[in-house]
Amino acid sequence: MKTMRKLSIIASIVLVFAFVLASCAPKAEAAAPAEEAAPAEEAAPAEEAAPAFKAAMITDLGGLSTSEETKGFSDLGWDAFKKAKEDLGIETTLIESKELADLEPNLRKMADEGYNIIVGVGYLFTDAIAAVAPDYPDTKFAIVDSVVDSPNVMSLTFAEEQGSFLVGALAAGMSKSGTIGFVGGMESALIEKFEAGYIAGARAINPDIKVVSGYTGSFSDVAAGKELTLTQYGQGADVVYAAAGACGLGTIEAAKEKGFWAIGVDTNQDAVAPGSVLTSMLKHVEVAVYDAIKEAYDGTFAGGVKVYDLKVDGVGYSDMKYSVDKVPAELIEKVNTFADEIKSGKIVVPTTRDEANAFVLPE
Amino acid sequence: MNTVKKFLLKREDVFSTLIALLIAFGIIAILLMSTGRPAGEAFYYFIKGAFGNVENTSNTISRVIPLTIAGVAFLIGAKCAVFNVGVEGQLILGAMASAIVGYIVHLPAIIHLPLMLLAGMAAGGLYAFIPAWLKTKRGVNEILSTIMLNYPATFFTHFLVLKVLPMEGVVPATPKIDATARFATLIEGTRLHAGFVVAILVVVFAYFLLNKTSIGYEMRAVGANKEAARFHGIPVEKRMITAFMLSGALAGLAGAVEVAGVHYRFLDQFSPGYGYDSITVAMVGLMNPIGVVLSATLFGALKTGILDMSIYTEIPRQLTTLINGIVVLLIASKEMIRSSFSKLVRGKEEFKQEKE
Repeated sequence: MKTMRKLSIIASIVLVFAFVLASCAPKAEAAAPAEEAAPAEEAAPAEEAAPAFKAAMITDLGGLSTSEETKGFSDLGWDAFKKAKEDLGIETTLIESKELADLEPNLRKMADEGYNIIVGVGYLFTDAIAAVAPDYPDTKFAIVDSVVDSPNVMSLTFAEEQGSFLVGALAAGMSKSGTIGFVGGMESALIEKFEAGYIAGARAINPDIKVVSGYTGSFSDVAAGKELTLTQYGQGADVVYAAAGACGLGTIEAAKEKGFWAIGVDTNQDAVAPGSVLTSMLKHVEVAVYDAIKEAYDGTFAGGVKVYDLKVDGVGYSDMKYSVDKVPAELIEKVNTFADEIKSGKIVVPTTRDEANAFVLPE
Repeated sequence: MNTVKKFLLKREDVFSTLIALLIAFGIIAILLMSTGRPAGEAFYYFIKGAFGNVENTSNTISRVIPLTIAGVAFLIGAKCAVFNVGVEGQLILGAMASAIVGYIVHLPAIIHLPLMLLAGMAAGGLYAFIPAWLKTKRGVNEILSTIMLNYPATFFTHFLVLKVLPMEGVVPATPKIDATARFATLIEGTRLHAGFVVAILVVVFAYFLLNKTSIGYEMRAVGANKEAARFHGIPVEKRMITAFMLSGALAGLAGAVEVAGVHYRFLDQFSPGYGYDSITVAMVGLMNPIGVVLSATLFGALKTGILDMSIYTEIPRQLTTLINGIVVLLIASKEMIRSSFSKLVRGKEEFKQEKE
């Protein structure tokens, strides 16, 4: 009885492997002569002919969006890869990580495969790139939103607080109730930069503005974003800025339903609900990532921290295609003056909530 | 012929699982080929990605470790009529407790590492006591209470990471644990760590507990028929609480092993749902500790193999999620396959007779 049981377990292991092996061998042969050559097979011989410049992008848990409307932060990174593939004729690969334990093996895998530059999109790559980069001194790495100190790593950071400052000013200028809202995703130092800039910008227009803030605890839960936005609307907010990934779509949905303004983030979300989105805080991840690939391609790549701020157009706000006629010209002028003052260093935008709540516009 | 038949029927659950797997792979192959993608190539890269070289095999094993421990955690509860869907929450709390012990306390490795693992087990076990008490003393359905208790665990650790514990840089995580609290990496450049020994010990422990001890026997008796067990003088409630807390402790251990072997700190969102996976792993493993190892290997391989498949072939990434789903679905519906299997082996007449 017992031995029978053991035997059958061993038999089942053997069977699984036998099946698995059997299943790939004959089918591989069968697939090869098939007339419709798959793209993968076409790519293979080309690869052998000339060692092309290869670039890989790895996403953190966010992954890419499935539709144009829900495009977010990681999609911008991939846009840069698509552009680089077209302009420079390089080979590109995308890996979407499923769990945090995968980040390091994924980086190593691409480095072992001989990729010239590997871009980790998201601050969750901090540990993984710090661990992998020293082992592959000839491979170039880039990380978005975090800093890794290694000669072959380019750290791409953004001055989100500066862009948020400008949309905060717009929000305060457009608010009739004197209350505006902020919806954050997972609470973190990064999202706090958005919130701080937004509060400071609003205070620059109206020192008495009331900003109600909340976090959904998620970057993907659209319903939670909508719910939180509706709560803030109930508290009197008539402009709500969402820095919460896909949760922000819930904010836009709520704004469309109840007829107030939403402000988009990262990508230009003005077209998601034309007339309900006041503007979008743009974070030009595509510019930063493209620069990194281009520099690696040209051989001018240098490690270190690169800050993408207003000065270099790394952040900003959208052209307000659908809402510009409803925004007073003086307000836009004022916001653009703020932008110039931030660029010149006259305004230093705070990056923490406490500093933002105490922010006073310099005379 | 008869002995073959007998053998097939005796382990019909094993064979029907294998058939389910075969059908799943068949469906995937048809799906790939019907959309003009080379199925053979896909399977080749899948196997290569999971076991093709030292790195890939090591990475697969490192995924198998938490799945195995968590799978056994669920199994121990289920054997005693306790459906602990709260493995996820217990695992997260265990990871947090162990990470705190890992970085706050400074001790030599020989004490530090075990202490840290014990902290993880204690956190998971104590957290499981809440639903255990609710179930045995208040009759609260443990499936509901454990599902709900996963949320406080997630958000409590989230709160600790962001508001209470010191944070270095932008990554929401605790500080790194001391070197003395880490499992040694067995192969440089991979994630294979000494924690796999813990996984083996857990499996052996579960096997002996359930099959060789009187407590294990009583637990299984409660699982088989609660009233009969009570009638025979088995302290049903006591055994259920034991099973629940043991299940929670093992879940906490799974989290602690991930911290000590892979992340070296508690990372917010580090678990991709190992706790929920543990249920599938235990079910597919036919509620048997050794079966759990095999099914954890299958799911670990799915995680690592699909990655290579999506890199080297032009298979769209959405399809990779689908593949995972098909495998789970087919295995979940294996009862159906089992009855047809048994019909096939016995022959129609015999099957009819047995039904009557």
